[in-house]
Amino acid sequence: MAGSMYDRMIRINCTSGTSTIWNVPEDLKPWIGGMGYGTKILSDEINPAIDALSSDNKVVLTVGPLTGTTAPMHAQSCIVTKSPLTGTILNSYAGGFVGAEIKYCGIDGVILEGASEEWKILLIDDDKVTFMSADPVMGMGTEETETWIKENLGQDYKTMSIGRAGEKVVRMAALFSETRTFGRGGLGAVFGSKKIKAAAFRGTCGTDLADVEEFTRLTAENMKIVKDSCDQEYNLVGMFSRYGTGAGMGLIQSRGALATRNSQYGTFDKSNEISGQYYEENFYTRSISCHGCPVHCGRIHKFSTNDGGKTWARGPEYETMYSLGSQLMNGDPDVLAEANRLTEVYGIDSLTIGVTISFALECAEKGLIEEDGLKLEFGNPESILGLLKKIGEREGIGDILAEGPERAAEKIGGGSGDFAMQVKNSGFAAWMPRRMVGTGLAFATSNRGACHKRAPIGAEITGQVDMLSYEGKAVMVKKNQDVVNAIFTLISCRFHEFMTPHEMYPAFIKAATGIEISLDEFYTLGERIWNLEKLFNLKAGLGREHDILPARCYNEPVKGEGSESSVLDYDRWQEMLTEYYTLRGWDYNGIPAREKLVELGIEEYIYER
Amino acid sequence: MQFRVDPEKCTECGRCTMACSLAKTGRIQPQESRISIVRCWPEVPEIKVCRFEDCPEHPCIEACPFDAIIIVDGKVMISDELCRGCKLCVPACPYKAITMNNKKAVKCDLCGGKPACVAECVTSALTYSGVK
Repeated sequence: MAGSMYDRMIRINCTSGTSTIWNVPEDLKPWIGGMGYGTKILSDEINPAIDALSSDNKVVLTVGPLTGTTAPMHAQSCIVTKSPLTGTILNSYAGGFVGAEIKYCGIDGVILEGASEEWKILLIDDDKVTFMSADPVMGMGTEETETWIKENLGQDYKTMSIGRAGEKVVRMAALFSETRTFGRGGLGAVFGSKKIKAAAFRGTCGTDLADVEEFTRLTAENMKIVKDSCDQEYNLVGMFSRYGTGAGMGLIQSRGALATRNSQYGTFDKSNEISGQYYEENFYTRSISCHGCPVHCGRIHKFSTNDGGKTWARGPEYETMYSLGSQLMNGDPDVLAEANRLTEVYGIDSLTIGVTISFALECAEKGLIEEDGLKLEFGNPESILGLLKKIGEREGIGDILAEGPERAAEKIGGGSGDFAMQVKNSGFAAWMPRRMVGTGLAFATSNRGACHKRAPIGAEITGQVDMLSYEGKAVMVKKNQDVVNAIFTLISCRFHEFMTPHEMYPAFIKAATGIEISLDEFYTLGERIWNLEKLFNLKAGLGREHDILPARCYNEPVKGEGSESSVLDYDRWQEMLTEYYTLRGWDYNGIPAREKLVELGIEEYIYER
Repeated sequence: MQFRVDPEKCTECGRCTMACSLAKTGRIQPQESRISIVRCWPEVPEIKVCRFEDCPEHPCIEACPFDAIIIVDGKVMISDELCRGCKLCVPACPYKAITMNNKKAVKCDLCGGKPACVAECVTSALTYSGVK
């Protein structure tokens, strides 16, 4: 019986404007889908040392066995490419509806190759690809571009696009999909370098399931778990369901771990006014779901703009409440909503741009930069919105900042790198490494730069483990990374695993595809992918010296009540990093030993200096 | 028992469309669903599905030249046997609830009394219950 994977992808050559069907080879199938497919394909097909913005880079967009099915919380699609922001291999995700539609096109994904000379929109109808001129939408914001496509080419297309930042190859530009975001790592710049303004999918194929009866039973069981969680008052996902992802603001503030004023403070006195609960109570609010998701953590709000107008936007999400809120001393919910909307218009990762702006504001405060006609001050709406636009347009100081916080610090100098809150040029997520030691280790060792998706955040923020301790954190981080990489082969929403017993993953895979995999093998697959990514990054020139947090984390105690003047001990931290490498079967420099690669079955990818 | 639709409660997840197509075709293929959701951001969506008793005029019945649309146990239904595929009912429906499938007009038939969509709707935007 047919399973839920179509075993075929479309290769789209942007240079020649042609496409071909590529049948998935047998040796790819054990990588399940999603991030597994993307990582293996990119590792096999590109030289890690290439310039990420050259036509040699490829974009591997995939779905997984549960995409487009009734299994709850599997709306996301995955893109793997080389990141122009971090120089690493990148995996980036967006929810919404495009993932399911890709599956309904009767494919497991598409691979973009080469680069177009003219700006194009890609239309994918089942397995047929049409290149059309993007002239009518050039310069438009993402939501505007996608609305144009729907109104002019077909309301039933599910879309993704870049904004002006992507067109101008801003390194932190994101790829948007119907207001959901492939945020991290600069995918918008990669699309911009290939001159692909947008892609639209429309499928008629639906999806099969290897065992409909068993799949329906598993779905019902999983739905019950998710719904029960949503009904619990103090369940985190339940809070997301009621107030959006911004529901967690109170918790992180109470733990003195809300990065504030470019990560100088761990609390923000206006955190209540930019929380999910505040928006729910004071603004027009509609709950919005991703495809098939019972949690509906998405929020549409209407709000006022700084120039007195009225508009609406999706979000802000929790991470943005930090990056464009507390980190910038911005406690005005309307200004925050407008800044968030501008990231959607320009098409920019709200995390990295927030950190880049907070970095710039501190540089200005220290007299390292200035900008004609624009005051640069924390908490000033003009400064925040103005810098955001300048980065989106690569205008004035924005041209330097558009390179990302680490690269910008190299140009600005004056020791500014010490307070550029990034790892591998990717801005910090909301969590503070000085307050959450394991989360800091996850930021530093992430294969895609300061990433919170594979960090022991829940355990640390809830006090299940001592957040300031170094003990046992290397083990926790390794486990988190391997487990999350495994579930990202299914492209499960990160919140799915908070509630779902892991035994359900192999059961879902079998019912969907017929593939038998044990839970241990599933975890090992996650570890295999992690190692393959690490090998890519080593070959791209990144080593132990890049697995490091900015100096502020080791030199400056966190200020503010409740943050206990926490600071990391550099030597103790390095010991923890070595412990982590050892656990992984890597040497002091983070190079995987041959035996480890043999054990994982990826010896052919070995890195030797 | 009455089928009720409340767009205010809808979060647009589309579980109803998957459940419907699975019930009607044995496969997940939402374009074959007899219920569909049209996004109208930032406002509430349009839900295209038959309203049964909430549409008392039943203009589809009058539009059908072949008397293929009938009331069965108080519920408006399309007879697959009598339908000739003329499509005249499609524009007649104020809720855009009728679509064509294999040259026949189709719409929600409440799955014989246990609507698959209602079971999947977590926010009670769709309900099916006794109403006096």
